[in-house]
Amino acid sequence: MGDVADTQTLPTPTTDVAEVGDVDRVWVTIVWNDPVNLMSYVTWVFQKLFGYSRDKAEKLMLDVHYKGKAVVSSGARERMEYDAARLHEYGLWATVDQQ
Amino acid sequence: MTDGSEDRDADDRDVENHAHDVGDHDVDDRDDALDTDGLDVADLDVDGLDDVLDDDEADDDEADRPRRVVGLFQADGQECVARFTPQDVQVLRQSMASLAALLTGDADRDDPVVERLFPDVYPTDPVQQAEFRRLTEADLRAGKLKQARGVLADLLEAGGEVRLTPERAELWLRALTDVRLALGTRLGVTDDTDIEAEIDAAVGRDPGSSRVMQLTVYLYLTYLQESLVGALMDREDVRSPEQPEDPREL
Repeated sequence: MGDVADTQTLPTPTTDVAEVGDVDRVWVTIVWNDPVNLMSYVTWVFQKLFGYSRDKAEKLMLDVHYKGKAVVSSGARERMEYDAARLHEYGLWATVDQQ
Repeated sequence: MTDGSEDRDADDRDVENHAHDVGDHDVDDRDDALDTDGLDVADLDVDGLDDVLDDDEADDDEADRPRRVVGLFQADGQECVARFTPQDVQVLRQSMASLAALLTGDADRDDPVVERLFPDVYPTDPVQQAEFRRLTEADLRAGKLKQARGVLADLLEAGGEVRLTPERAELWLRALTDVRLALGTRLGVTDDTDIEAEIDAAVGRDPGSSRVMQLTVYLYLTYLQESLVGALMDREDVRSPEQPEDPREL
């Protein structure tokens, strides 16, 4: 890279970046790995609750199993709370967060 | 997570079908099944579990006895069907009754089982978490209790053979999950736990210990749930895929 010209100026942020980021960050439902739930059952729950294909549900299940967690749905905060509550009905360990 | 289908063939334990034991179990006693006061998973002590544990020995000594695989689910048309021995029924009844007792008692937030059945949705935000709990926990608790009592009712009605509609099978799956979560948490099950090895070790220390009983029940419930998921999916595979109520993509 060449020298940065003194005359080159970057746009100055006029709003609080962190604040804008909070608003823009999407809400997600996260399912965490646990040692009890069956892999087959977790796959079935993802298909049942979210209407995902078997392939997609299995991929998410494997992410939960091997990576420790997976984002299973995203959208409005209230919707994510609903999803998490439903997952708790099925005994999965779910939390809501912003990403 | 755990894969309950692992080594399934080797672990389908043959258990003698003790027809003479039928009279010893009050499988039709509704009051008894629904009287959950004072029961606890830790107190689980089930007649007939010795048969499950000692199946190898029984094979040697009494090879001519009629026997069958421990009750597991299979798809039958649109239904999921299992034939349970009185011992299986007893295990299921006590497990569900213990769960119901836990759900009807005062929730102890410090109890890891309660924590697992009612997880925090906002683990790092106590204010939001309290609000979420206020709005949802009563319904969640009521739903879980209804499921456990639903399984108890199905067992009382059916006796040995249980036939489940798809809707009923889903209720059973959720109830079995809750029971396994509670028992697994009490037993300290982790991803690395080999339940069979744990049973062997526990038997070595004290064959009559409650830990042996609980581990054996846990293992049976794991296979039972795996069989029910399999039966439900087999059933669904032969149908045209259902349109989900609310198809969504990530």
